[in-house]
Amino acid sequence: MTKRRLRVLFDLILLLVQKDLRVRYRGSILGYVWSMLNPLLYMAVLSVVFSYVLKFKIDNYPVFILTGIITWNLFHQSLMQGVNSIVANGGLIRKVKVSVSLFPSATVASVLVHFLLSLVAFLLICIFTKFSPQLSWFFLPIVLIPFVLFVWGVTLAFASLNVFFRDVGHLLDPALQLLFYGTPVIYPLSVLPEKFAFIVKLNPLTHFVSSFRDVLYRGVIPSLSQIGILCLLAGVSMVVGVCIYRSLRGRFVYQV
Amino acid sequence: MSIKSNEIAIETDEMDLFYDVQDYQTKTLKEYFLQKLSGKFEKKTKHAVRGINLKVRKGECVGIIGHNGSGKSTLLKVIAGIIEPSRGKLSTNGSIVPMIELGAGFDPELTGRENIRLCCSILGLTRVEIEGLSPIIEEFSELKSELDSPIKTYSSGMYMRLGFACSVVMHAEIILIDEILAVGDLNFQKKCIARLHELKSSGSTILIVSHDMSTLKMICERLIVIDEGAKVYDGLIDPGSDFYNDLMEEKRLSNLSPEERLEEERKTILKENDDQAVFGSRVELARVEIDNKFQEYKSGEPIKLKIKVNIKENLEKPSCIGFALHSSSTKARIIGLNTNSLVDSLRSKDLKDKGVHEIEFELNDMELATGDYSIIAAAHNFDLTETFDFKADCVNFKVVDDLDSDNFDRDLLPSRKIIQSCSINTQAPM
Repeated sequence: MTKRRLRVLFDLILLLVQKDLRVRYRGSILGYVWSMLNPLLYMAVLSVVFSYVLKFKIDNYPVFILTGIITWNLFHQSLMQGVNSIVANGGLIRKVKVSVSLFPSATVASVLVHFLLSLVAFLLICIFTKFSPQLSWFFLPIVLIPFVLFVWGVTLAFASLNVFFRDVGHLLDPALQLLFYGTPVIYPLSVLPEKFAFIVKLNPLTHFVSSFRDVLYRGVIPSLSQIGILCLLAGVSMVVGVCIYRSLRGRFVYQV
Repeated sequence: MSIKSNEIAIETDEMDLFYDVQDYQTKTLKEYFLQKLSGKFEKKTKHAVRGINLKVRKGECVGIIGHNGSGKSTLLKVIAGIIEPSRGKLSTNGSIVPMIELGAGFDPELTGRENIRLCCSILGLTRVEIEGLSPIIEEFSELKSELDSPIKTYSSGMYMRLGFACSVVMHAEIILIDEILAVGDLNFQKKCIARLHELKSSGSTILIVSHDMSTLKMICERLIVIDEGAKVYDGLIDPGSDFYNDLMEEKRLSNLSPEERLEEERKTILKENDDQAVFGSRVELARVEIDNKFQEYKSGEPIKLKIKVNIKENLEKPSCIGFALHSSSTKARIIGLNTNSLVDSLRSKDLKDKGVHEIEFELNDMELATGDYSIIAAAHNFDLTETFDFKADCVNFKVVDDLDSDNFDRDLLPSRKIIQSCSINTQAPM
């Protein structure tokens, strides 16, 4: 791939992200503020339910839950929007020679922008709840990069499969619902009894959410072995995603 | 003739494409599994492109024509790299801009300007290049102030203009066009064709798929005819156009019912006989003349037409001599008559015997408008199944109508003579 070709791809992803953001917020008064407001509202609902109704005993529960939500959202939104990204651009794929992996990639990129905006919301909540800044915040990129690559691999795989089996798109919503509860987003891993914790630890997302929480909430710098696990997960997801994509892409044009 | 490889823009070698046809015919689950188990599961495969060998040189402009579903658009998509060929080789040399559909990648929510950037980016330009081209595209599209409204508010013509502007302004080495020249109004179409000529002379290679031979003739010098996915003609456009017409005629005939086909065949034979007949061998139109040697009549003045026939052998049945009067400018037939229609006034044997005969037709009340007129004369057998002789435009004359001597509107009948009154009622009920 030449340098020019990379340049074109990069510019195109940028434009697609721009388009996605522009189209999403065109006509709404608050615009980009929604990217921040959304996780905050979600957090507010869950905080009320879990700290007042179920009485979880966790320090600064709003910050705890917000770290979980923004991490989960990056995964959830990428997958939910990305799974249809190839099918939705079928018209284009049938008419122009274009690298199809572009569309799931652009979805992940635009969800990443939302994630970065929701970090602003996170900062606001920290100030509001007098949560002091942590040194470990600087280590966020080390956790974020493998996570984004992991999400990209999964999204690419599901978007490709969805072209041939539209059932994937329909199944995804309930499956993610289940996964949400199987990931320590709203509860800490420590509240689970030993035999359940074992199952939840098999879920790759558990590792990502815990690492994000270490960095953002607990003020713990992730250990090398922890980062190693994250990179391994990201690698496996990318390899599987790319393999599925490559084996199917030749036939996309007949199916979209 | 060998061509240097760096002069070739597109080359294919025994290229085939087949794919499974999508079949949405609903089956019950039971049927589906039964068929699958018994191995009778049918998979329809479409062989859309068959063994195409193609060499297009740089700077060539090639038209591709074929009936609906012949695979010409699919061929274009394969060349564009949208579909991979199933077999054979394809190599292209240079950047490709496909215009398979206009406005590929347009988003209805974005404005015209934003869509220009998006479309160009999808077609493979970097941001810097797009910044440079945008003003030219905006100019070409002639959309002006509309460029800042979302394109969902555009009319289909405006949408097409924008799409066409995007693809046609960028300088590509290979341009693939699929049936999209019928864009916008006549002036915009002319502009598009002019732009294609410009691209052509700057060295771009152009491939156009169209049904419209006249458009192709305007741009291309080479024509490829595709039938059932295979190339059946490849050469100069003018003979190619005849080839294609014959092919289409053949297809039309093969779709007719047997009775219709018999009738068609009979007509063709008749026509061929006419073509081969040596006119004037049995009956000859020796002389056709009118009574005015200046060949100019006043409107309404009687015209006498004399046809002299030389019957060279005795005929079984009298020959039938006829004429028709046409307007020279519009070729519209005004009147026509033959001796069979006037048989009462002629003795039938008159046109039967060997010798020279003269027939005089008198045309009265010829109220024609100012203009030039011509006469066609013909000699047939009695049943009108055979033509003995035929003369087109053998007499030309002028008619002058004093009331309208220049006949600017090219009427066939003198309007002012025919319509002499016209009343206006200012209080007419609705």
